[in-house]
Amino acid sequence: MSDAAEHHVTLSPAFHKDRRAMRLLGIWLFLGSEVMFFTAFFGAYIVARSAAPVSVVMPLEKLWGALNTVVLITSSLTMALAVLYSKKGDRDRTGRYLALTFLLACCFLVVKAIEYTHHFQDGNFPSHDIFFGFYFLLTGFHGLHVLGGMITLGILWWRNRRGDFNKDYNDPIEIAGLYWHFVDLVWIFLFPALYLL
Amino acid sequence: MTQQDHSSEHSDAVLYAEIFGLLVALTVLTVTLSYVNVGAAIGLPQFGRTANIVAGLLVAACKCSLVLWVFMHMNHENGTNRFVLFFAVCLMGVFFIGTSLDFEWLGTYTHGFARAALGL
Repeated sequence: MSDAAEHHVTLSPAFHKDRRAMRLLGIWLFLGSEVMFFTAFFGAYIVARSAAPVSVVMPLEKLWGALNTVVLITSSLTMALAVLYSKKGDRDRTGRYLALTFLLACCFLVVKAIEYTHHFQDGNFPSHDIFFGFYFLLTGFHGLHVLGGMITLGILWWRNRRGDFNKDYNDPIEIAGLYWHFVDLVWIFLFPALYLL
Repeated sequence: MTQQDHSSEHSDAVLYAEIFGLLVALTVLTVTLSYVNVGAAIGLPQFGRTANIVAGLLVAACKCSLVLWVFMHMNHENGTNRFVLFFAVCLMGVFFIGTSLDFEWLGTYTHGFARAALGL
């Protein structure tokens, strides 16, 4: 057992419960502020899009967007399983699912990089028009969130391997899980808004 | 690990797999909806693209609810955390309603401007 896990078991259960509650409140407040962050850009885009003629189809490949949606949904499943097994104290499976989530996040960014390359080759830079301005703004910020999540996942995988977590102490994995699902939620709205409608 | 732990672990994993399947199915539905004129299909052709946008966002909202409820365990969260999320969603609603009212009634954002802004 590592120092962190050892230190954890010496504290009283009531302290753990309070600390866990505070951590969860903290992450939910953070996620609430993130909702507002994306709402501002997303709302502006939806208004601009609603006013466009019915016949217009946005110049994005639906296939790439759909593929990335499935990748992120799968990563949400693997993250949920990582949290589940961390609560059971199964370190091997927790590590395996954290690593899988990390790999799926890499897949997502690779697909996004391919898409960006195609747009740049076609001369569609953020300054091309408002649609691509919104597109790069929204997907760029979302991509940064994915990158942030990947760094967190990497650290958690390493800490899990070191033995920092056990059946009683796994709050960081649970909190990272909530963040990761939020990143998935943002994409669930971005995909239809940018690629399909 | 007791037999009961094993069984609850298995049932949770099965539930997650089912929700995953449902999310993929809803993604297929979202893509399918993009090829249909939803307004005409429900007998309200005057709504045009707006009906497609509303339908697409409704499916997205269903997916969002599933992720929140099952993967993010909102069903087990305490009242304070639920309130934080509810408040954020309410603020989002105020933002959307305010912007839509401005767009629809005040006419500060015209279709011609939208065409130009979107590079169409």
